[in-house]
Amino acid sequence: MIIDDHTHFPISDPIWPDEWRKADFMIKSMDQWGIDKSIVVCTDPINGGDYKVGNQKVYDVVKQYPDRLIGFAWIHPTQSEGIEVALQEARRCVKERGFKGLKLHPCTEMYSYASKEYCYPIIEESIKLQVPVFCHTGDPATCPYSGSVLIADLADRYPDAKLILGHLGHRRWNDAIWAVKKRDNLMLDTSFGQTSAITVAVRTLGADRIMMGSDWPINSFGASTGHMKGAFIRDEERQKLMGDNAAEYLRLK
Amino acid sequence: MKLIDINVMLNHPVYQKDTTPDAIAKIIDADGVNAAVVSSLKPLASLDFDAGNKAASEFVKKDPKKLFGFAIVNPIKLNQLETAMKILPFKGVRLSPNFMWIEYSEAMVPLIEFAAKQKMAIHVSVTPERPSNMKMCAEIAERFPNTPVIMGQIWTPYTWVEASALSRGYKNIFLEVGFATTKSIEDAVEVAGASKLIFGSGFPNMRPKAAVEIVKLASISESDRDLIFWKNASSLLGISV
Repeated sequence: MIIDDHTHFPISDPIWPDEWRKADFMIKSMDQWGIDKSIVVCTDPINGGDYKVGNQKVYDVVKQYPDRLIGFAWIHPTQSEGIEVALQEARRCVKERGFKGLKLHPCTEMYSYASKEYCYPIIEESIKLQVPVFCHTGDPATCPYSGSVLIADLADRYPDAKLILGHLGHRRWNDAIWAVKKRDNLMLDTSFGQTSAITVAVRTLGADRIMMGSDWPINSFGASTGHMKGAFIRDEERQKLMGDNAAEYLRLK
Repeated sequence: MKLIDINVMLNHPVYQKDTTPDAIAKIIDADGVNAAVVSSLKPLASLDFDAGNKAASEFVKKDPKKLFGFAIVNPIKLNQLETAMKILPFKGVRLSPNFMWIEYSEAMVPLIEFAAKQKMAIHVSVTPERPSNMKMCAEIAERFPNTPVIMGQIWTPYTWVEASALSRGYKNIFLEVGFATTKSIEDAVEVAGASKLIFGSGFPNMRPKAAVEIVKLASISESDRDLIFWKNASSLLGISV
């Protein structure tokens, strides 16, 4: 089974083609590149939209394709209703709607992974809900408060949390690999990761703690599977990255 | 107020006339620096590391009670550090100043082992983008727990947030305050403690006097300020002022 651990639907920014907002286009794209299942998150909050509305759209599309799509809830703790509403939304999405995880994206919502007020309560809630949290990463030059070092610090503070370090740390993939190597409660997502970085990640960490992601439609399924196929790793390692690890991590088997 | 500045750059390739020995001596006096740690950036352009360390040693020897040196070497060339230590007991070694992009690997270990035996500090410039060198700091700090690792030139307040978090986890990782904002200093004191902060201006990029004002404006205690201005450097590097 081939699983993509990080996609977006529906894409909200109007600059993107309309067809990217159609569920059947996403499923056709998955079919084209041999993707059996995708974890899907909304994008509304990064375009100024309400995360709860975005989560509703994800819920609707997952209901439409329950065998192909797995929902993660975007949680925006700094939105005006406050942190309590964000925690309620996390509980509602997981307990009532069957979402399998949460997603955080601090740099566009002006909080930090080191925030006691906005981040730590979400992580504590994820522990109670027993779901992983996908943590967006970026380097401080372009996406502040979202670096791998801060996620490492979060993992140290919350050893019972299950955190997915997203995007292979972006350009700072060396910090991301270091963070995951030292901490058992971190998994590494490869979306936006290049062939070379993926190869180094497998050689440093082994193949059990890395999951393939694309960030579709911002990045194509073809690019992510292409990097997987191009990585200088063994076929059995490739299979773990491309599906087996995600299936086990999300208990899909 | 006493002041030790651990990051003064001699022979900066871009600001050559501002960073001659005479120009630096004037700035140090004018800005009230009691002791300065200098390193020569000459090799970043020329790649002649021996000449750079020789230039630093000649400057330091002019006023050895006030001036001290950090060597700059290629981190995988042990012989460069051995050569440097024969001409001056450098207090530390800069492994990755800005503009020299090299990542931590086992190839660096012999040089770091040598530095650790000499009780030198390791100074690493960190950057917002790859290579951030944060991994390098963590790897060295973990493997050499008795060697001070100074994260230098922490550009941008956002990089400070990461650097402070990293320092919190390692007793031997320190944060140089050059290019810090007042808020960065306040946060770092809260997260990592004032015993982890150390004054370094990064001259010529920042005048020592300007960096002092930023520390003075931060809402921290006077005892914390003393640690930052001179006490931490004094105890870490064995410099008396």
